[in-house]
Formats: sequence, C-alpha cells, structure tokens
Amino acid sequence: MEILNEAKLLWKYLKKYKREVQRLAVFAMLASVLGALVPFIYGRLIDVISLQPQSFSFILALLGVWTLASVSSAFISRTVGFRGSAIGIKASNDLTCNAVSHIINLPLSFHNEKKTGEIFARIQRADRYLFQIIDDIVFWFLPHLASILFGIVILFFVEWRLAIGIVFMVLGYFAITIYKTKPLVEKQSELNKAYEFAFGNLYDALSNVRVIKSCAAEGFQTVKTERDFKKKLAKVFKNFVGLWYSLHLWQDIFYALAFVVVFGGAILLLSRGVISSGKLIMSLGYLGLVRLPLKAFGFHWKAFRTGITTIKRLEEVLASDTEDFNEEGKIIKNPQGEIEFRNVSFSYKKGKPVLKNISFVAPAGTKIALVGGSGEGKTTLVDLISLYFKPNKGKILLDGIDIRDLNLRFLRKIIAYVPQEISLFNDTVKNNIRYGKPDATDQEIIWAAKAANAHQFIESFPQKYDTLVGERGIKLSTGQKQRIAIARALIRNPKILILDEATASLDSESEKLVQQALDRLIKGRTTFIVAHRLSTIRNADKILVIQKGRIVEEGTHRELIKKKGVYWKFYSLQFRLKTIEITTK
Amino acid sequence: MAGLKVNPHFDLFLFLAVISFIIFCFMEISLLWGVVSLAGGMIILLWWIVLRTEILR
Repeated sequence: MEILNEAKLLWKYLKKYKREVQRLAVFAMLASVLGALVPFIYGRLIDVISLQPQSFSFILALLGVWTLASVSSAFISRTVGFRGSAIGIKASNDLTCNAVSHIINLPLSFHNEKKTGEIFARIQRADRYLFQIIDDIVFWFLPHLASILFGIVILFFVEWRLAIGIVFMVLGYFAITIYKTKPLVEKQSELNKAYEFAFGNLYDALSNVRVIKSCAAEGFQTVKTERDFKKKLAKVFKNFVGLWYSLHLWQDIFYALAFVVVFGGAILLLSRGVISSGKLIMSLGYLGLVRLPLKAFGFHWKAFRTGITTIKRLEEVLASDTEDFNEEGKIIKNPQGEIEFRNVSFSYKKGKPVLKNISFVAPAGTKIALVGGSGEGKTTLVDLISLYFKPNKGKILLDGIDIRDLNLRFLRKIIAYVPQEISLFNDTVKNNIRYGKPDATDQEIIWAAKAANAHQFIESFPQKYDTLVGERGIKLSTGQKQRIAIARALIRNPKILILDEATASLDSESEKLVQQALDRLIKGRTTFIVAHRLSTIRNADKILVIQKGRIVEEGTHRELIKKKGVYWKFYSLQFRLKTIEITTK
Repeated sequence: MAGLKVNPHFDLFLFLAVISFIIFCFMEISLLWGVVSLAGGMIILLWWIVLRTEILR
C-alpha cells in the first residue's frame, strides 16, 4: 500500500529518535484520553445537578476533576508539541545534511546535467515539508485523532446510538477528504516542478549578476523571472488553490449537515426520555471535540501527501548512485607521480567520441603542456586523470598501476587542480586556503600564502587572514584569487598538478607574481598545463597538440617549431598577434 | 450500589488526596512519574464519578 510506504519513508527520518518518539507517543495518548474525558465529566455534572443539586461536595469534586483533566491535557499536549518540534527540526536537519553529503558525492556527470538552483529548491522544500509533517501531523494531528477515537469509545458506553451517529459523520468526512485530496496531490508534483524550475532560473540569475549587469540585461531578466513566477507558477498555483477551495467547501457543508443530523437525533432521544439532559450535553461536547481535528484532517492529510511527494522527489536524487570511491582499492605508499595514458578513448555520449586512442607517458616531475583549440578535449583529458569520468577504452596508469584499481580518495588527494576561473568560498582567506588541507595549522597556511606570493596582499587587508572574500571571491582581483588558489594547491603538497592556464587573464604585474608562485608550485611535481597562450609553455618537457580528440603532435617547443606543423601554426599566429599588439601600442 | 452510603465530604477528600499525590509526583519525582500517577489518579476519580452518579439515582 502506498500510504504504508510513505509512512516507512517518514519513519526513516524518525528512526534515529525512536525512544523519544515512543515516549512522546505515550504522553500524547494520555493527553488524548484526558481531552476525551472532558465532555463525559461535564455531562455527568449536568446529571448530578439535575438529580441532586444539594450534593455540594460532589459537584465541587467533579468541577475539580474537570479542571484537572483539561489542565493536564493542555500541559501534556503542549509538552509533546514542543518536544515534537525539536525532533522535527533535528530530523529535517538530518535530511538536509544527508542530502547535501549524498549530492556532493554524486559523480560530476550528475552535476553537469542538473541545475544547482533546482537541487537547492528540492532540498529546501523537502526540509520544510518534513518539519511540517513531523511537527503538525505526527505530534499534533495523530494525538487529536486519538482523541476522536477515545471520545467515540466513551460515547459508545454512554449512549451507543449517538456514538454511531458520530462514527458515520467522521467516516463520511474522511472519505470526502481522501477523495478530494487525490487531485491535489497530483497537482502538488506539478507545482513542485514549477517551483524548482522557477527557483532554478532565479538561482542562475543571482549567481550571474555580473553578466546581467554588464549586458544591461536587468530588464530582460526581470521579465524572464516574472514569466517564470507570475505566469507558469501562478497558473499551476491557481489550479491548486481551486481544488483546495472545493475541498474545504465540501468539508464544511458535510460537517454542518452531519452536525444537524446528530444533534437532531440527540434532541429526539431526549424528548422521548431515552437519554438524560446530561447525555445530550455530553454528545454535544463530543461533536465539538471532533470538529477541530476533523477540520484539521483535510489540511493535514493534504500536507502529509503533498509533503511526502516533495520528499520523494528528493529521494529520487538520493537513490542515484554516488561515486564509487573504491575504498578497498590500492594506496601507493610513496607515489612518484608518473602518468601514462595507454590507448585511452572517451565519450560523454555514445557515438560522439571526445578522446580517441590517446597514448603518452608523463614521467614523474615533468611538465606536460596540452595545446589545442577550444572543445578539442584538453579539459576532458585532465578530468580523466582525476577519474571524474572513466575512460571507455584503454588505461590510465599512475606509477604503473591502473588508476581504476586505486582508492579514489587517495588518487584525488595527490592531485591538485588550479582552474582558470577561480571559485572561492564566501569565507575567510584563511579558511579558503585551509580547504586544501582541513587540518592545516596557521603556520602552514602562512607558509603556503608566502610561497604563492599572496601573503603580502593578505597582510594589507585590515582583517588580514580573517578577511571575508565575498561570494565566489568577488572582493578580490583575479590575480589575488589565483594566488589564493595556488596557496590552496600548495598546502596539499600534491604529486600531480593540473593547471588550467592560470595566467590567461592577468595584467603583466599580476602575471609575474602568479608565474613566480606557479614556478614554486610546479617544482618536483608532475604538472599538466592546459595552455591557451603558448609563451608560457616554452620550457615544458613535453607538449601534446590535441586536435579532434587525438594527439597530432608531440615533443618539446623547439622540436615542434622545427617540424613546422600544427603547433608552429598556432605559435606563429599568436606571435603575429602579439607583434601587432606591440606595434599598435 | 444503591445501599452504599457516602459521607458528603468524602468526594472532596478523595479529589484532594488524589490531586496532592499527582502534584507530589510531578514536582518531586519526575515528569514520567507525574504522568503515570495522573493516569492512575484519573482512573480512580472517573470510577468514583460513575459510581457516585449511579448512587444518586
């Protein structure tokens, strides 16, 4: 049954707090019994007053019991509610943390295809709904439902005819609610998708504010956002609200009719002398007791079903396989850093190869440059070394061992990557460098910053190493960001280094500083440089020229220039451009 | 039951005795004991309410 599976899903998040949940469930039951007793007590009170008004002491005691039952019921249900909320917060935090941990462990191919904002919206909505379900339903609605049940049981002992009336009323109400909620749940998944789409785009826009501003596209973006929210989302929402309204209307009408029928029946029984006036008041009390949970049932049933639908959407992501870190894989004790590609072929999509039959050896400690136009497969080639993707054919060997047999965490630990577009966390300078080695001491951080030519400018900030760098490092210049990224790579002391042409977009002063830092970083490590400007790779030990996924030329700068092939063409083109630049200056 | 005679002040005495015990459990022992004594106390009092109203008839 679907509802059972859904309850199981919910239990998955509550299981951790099993003891507390069990204890609260007992308390909640007690509160429900106490709540359900109140109409019984005042019903009896009415009877006592009408039968023997002079029994003053008993009336007083009854009033006392009534007060005791209501006060303790209120006290216990508030305690249950309060502690239940605390469990709700803990469980929803667990959900978010698990989801984030799972998602960052998913392979890069997943992240390349999904919008960050969409994933973000999924997590956020699932988190909110899980809290709502636990807080409102598990610890509020279920105890109230128990009140209804106890109330009916008590009424059965007191006056079975009225109890049957209330049972029919409750069942009818539930039937209407369940039937009318079905389309609402279907609409909810549509609404979820619309929300994720709209927030995905919104996130995209906010993370690209610079582009929007530089293109003066604020107006265009506003129109786009309005279209997402006001048209697409609002349309789904309107349908949703319509169904919601119809559900409430049906519920209200049914309750009003059922109330009249049950109450009318009670009056009839009183007029025939079957029941006492105390029992009439009692049955009225039970009708009132049933009213609030019944009204809430519609809301909670919908919240539960729709909430679970939302959590299931996140579960879909959580069900996808995380990267296989091959924890049992080999670990090389003293890795040298020799990399060999042996007939490696790779494609992202079947039939569209990106790399074809790549073979080369990068001896430990050498500097290998990859040259070629954009989209020729240079970045893919270096991504394969970190095993972000697995080659379809052939092998990549590290010190003679196939990297697929290695422990993936070990492999990634000995590789550092300095990308062209540096992305920093919105945190302090210190923490950004520490990301490379979480257990690094302050001295190590300063050492890395000094080696990366970053210490001087960091010291010039008023808060020095505790300066916040802003979203993705927006408060720093490109050169400064690169030097922090180099420090982050240096602190890890990697064996293999991958540089995505770090000096591509710098002024000559920054370039000099970054280049110095890079030279220090490269020393003694196998380095792969994805080169865009050929002037920086003249002293590389080996240059691989890649075209359409194949290595078309291989050799040192001098050898390749002599050859007058593809590299020579690239080189002379850039050299000519540089000469033109100098003459125009 | 109808033959049972009840001292007119016994109802109040029973109520006060039970409530004092419940308060004592809540304040001096623990929440759990308080809840348990509350449950027990309520059962006693309710049984008494049913019995007493039957006697009145």
